[in-house]
Amino acid sequence: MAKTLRIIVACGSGVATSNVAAEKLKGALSDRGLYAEVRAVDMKSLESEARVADVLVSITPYATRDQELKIPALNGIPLLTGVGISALIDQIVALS
Amino acid sequence: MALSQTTTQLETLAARITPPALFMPNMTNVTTKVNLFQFVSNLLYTNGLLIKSSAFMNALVEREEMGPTLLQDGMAIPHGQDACVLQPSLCVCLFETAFLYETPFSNALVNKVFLFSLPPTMEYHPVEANYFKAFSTNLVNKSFTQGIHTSMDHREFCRHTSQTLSGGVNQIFLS
Repeated sequence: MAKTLRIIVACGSGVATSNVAAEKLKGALSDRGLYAEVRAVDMKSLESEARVADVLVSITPYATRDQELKIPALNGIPLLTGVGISALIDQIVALS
Repeated sequence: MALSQTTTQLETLAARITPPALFMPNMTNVTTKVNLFQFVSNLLYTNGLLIKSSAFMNALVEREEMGPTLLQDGMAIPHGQDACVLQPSLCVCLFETAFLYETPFSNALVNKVFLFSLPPTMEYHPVEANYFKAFSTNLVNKSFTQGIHTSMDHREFCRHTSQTLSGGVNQIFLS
């Protein structure tokens, strides 16, 4: 059985934009017939959350920290603006 | 927990997080994002929810520079997290005429602004944090946002919000 991809969606506070983005991501994955475990997290818990995740989708510009976190980091802004969601899902599919 | 009981509890919580003074169903006095931030910062201060309006204004602006808070469908969810915030709250600003919401990333016309004021340690406010998460998650639900926009008064807003969020009530109160 294929392993379920664990995706964390991060923003500063973990209570606002990351939750909107996580919900949109679940919908966009579902539209492609994909399933992943998607969780919204805050930046304070990012390091610990990243230890048990496969991919980081970041709403704020923390993409450069991916080496530090040891998981790939993707730009999650398309999930808020609606522009480029398909390309983001392609990137996630490539990682699954 | 019976559904009517949970809805009542949620309605009380919604009214605490968005007291009547923070529900503005027909805003006409601001036309730019900066005006809005100044107005809301002063409003939160005069309602005893902040200790310093300028510090909160700075927190809002700093967050805007980090990444977009602009969503689709004429919505924005700016938020400021700062030690000057005494109590987590949500300010609901609805506009009959959309205004241009400018950000370092993109600009768009906005007619619904949900502005969160957050203390630095949301861990000490788990119920409010869970409410904010549930509220934000439901912003992708068009019937939820349209229901807010057509709420005529504070009571109707609280009722509509609590009914929508009641499905996830266990996550709000019990986690």
